[in-house]
Amino acid sequence: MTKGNEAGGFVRLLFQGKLDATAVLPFPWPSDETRETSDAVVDMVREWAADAIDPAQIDADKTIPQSVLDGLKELGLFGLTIPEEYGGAGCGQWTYAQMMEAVSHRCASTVTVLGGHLGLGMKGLLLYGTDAQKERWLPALASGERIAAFALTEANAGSDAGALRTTADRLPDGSWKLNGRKIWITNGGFANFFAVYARTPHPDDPNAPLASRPISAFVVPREAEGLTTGVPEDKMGLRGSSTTEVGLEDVVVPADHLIGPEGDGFKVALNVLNSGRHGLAASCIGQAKLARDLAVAHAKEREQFGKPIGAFGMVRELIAGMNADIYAMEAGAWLTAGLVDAGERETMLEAACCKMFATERLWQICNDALQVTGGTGFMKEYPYERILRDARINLIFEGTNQVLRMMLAVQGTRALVRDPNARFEGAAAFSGVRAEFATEQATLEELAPVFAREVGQAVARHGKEIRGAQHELRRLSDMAVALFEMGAVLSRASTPERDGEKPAPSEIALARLAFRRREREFRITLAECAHPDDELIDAVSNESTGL
Amino acid sequence: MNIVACMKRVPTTELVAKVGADGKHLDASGVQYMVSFYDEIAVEEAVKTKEKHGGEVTVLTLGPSDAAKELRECLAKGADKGVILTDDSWSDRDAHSTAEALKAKIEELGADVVFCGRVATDRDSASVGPMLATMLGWACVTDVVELDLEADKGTAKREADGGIETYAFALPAVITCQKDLNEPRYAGLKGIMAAKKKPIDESPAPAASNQAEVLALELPPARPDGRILGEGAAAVPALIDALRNEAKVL
Repeated sequence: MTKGNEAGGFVRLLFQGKLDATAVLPFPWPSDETRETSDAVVDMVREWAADAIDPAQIDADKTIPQSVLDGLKELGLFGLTIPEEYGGAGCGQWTYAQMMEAVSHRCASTVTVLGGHLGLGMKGLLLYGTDAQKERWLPALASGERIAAFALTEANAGSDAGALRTTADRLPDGSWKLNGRKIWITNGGFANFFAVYARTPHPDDPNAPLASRPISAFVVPREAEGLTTGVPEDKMGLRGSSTTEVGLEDVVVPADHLIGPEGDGFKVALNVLNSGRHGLAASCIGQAKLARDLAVAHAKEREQFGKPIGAFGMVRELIAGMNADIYAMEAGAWLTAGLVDAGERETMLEAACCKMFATERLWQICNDALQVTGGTGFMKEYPYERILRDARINLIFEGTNQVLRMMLAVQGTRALVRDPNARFEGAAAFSGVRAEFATEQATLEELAPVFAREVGQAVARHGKEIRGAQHELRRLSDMAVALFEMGAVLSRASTPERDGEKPAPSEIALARLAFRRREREFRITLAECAHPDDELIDAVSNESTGL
Repeated sequence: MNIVACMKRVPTTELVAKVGADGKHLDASGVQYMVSFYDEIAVEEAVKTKEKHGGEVTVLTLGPSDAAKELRECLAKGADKGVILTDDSWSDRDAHSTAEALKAKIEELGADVVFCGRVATDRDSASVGPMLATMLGWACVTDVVELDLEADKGTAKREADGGIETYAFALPAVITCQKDLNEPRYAGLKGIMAAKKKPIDESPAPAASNQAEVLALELPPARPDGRILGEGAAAVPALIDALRNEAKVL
């Protein structure tokens, strides 16, 4: 099944004025077989993790014990998404998302090992490697004999990966000599397969300045001479996850360690990052549920003024909000995973929406869960402070949420910047929604054209310069994320997971609240569009930064 | 060696039990199931026996078609095939009627050894294994904590009240498994994927011939709330008073 439209996925089309219900409806639930597999994986992971992983100890010790890494290996999780022909389990994105959530529900540091390996480190090889390269490396990566790390970031190349300084020079025998220093590399301490991104020579000009040389991707095994890793960073959260520098000093790797065509490394890196962000969103769901579960238990137990605090309206607001947001986080991440598994080619913008939404909701949910638990939650003997610390990096890594907002809106407006007529006309229709959600359907059909109008006006105002109009880009992105989540929520709540199933009344209320919270976010941003503070913001900010 | 492990699906331990409208059954709505704890040990022992002696492990259950989910879990942990004797009224069967149905199937399968859990964690009757052995006319050792099998005989240690008994027996035999016998393995992804390709046969269970019938099912009375009498040494007189005059234990 291939869904979607030649012109782009659901989110891209929203920018161009088309509310393409067929791209997201019916909700792409997995087949019964996939569901059975993922349920079995989740049951296994939960049972194992409850026995084998002590998240507080991992946080305190600043390291994941070897027994946990061995367990991940024995369960076969390092090979979850690697094709069966290379010794993996060949699972799709649905099962990957469920597994990430299940591990994350127990320990955020531990799930980072799997994200660094499956989501980032080995992904370039999987997407761009030759058959020979896959045969050589994937079986060891699938068994966990080799654990992968993604080595892109450098001291001066964080969000701006284009500022990379690591070099790879070609030697007369065709092999490559790498020099440079990577920082903040996840799994650095124990990985033995590094996907390294480095500048290769300019095809025409051997004296080209570094900045104009193309980037290429390489496999560098730990045993390569000249590769060193630094001491583990002392971090605010994910303290068990190994984050180190990776030094490359005259590291020579054979010609066949180049992944993808020479000079295509930037594309490889971006596709690796773009293709897997819903996996990060899925792991946020695990931690969000952990925080929510703790807060709900406390709200039922703790009595003040003669009744459980969960009976008070303001606490209800927090608990209902957590539940509704988790429903929406799931809807977005599962929808995107389902689209990838169904063969949809363009899910980059959807995955970016999932990442921004899930990471920011998780942060809010941690905050709200702590608020429900009050002073008790502030004590270190409870896990809230760890959950909060662990959650914070999600808004920063795998593309900061600011960079993703920029990417989303620039990509979304690209077709219109090129050709202002590249927009769809006609009334917005989101058909296929359950009758219970007629009001929400009408709201989405009302708001999608409003968004398209704002996009059109922004493009008319800035033209090509919209790339630099960050206040505008931020507003458009926020509205696009809200619309995407509204669509995902309606699609999920309207599509029975198994034929003939009806949603329980409780799910209808949950979905409705999830939708309305996104609607409210949309309308707040829309109000900003009508009365932007842009000039005030620039003036006040510049006053303090002197820029 | 031809090895059979009997498995029962039971409500998960998180279940908040409710009595159904007829006052005889558990309210089945929303109940999630799992492999009974001791049956997991039986399956593990069956797989270990296969790994040591070769042969094939069949996991046998009596239950609804939905029990395929729990069977699949056993297949993921190394069993070779599953058999469901289907009966939608499986939970109405008494131990005798269940054992009779299993006996007929086991004779058809031709087992050298049959592993059962020492007790199913829902009914707690611990009867099916010994009844099955009696019907088959085989040796039976219950509550086994250590087992050593050879081609045609074995020795088993069982937990008796206050001590360990060691038995020698000839095969075929029925072994019911106590928790110290082994540590069940995790299936692993490979096991889960392999289990998809393993066969599960379904055939209707012979009609039930219950000798005992459930008349009523009641939940244990709710425990009254605890009471805090005070703190530290100052609370001791009140505590002694309550223990002597209310609880009447002193």
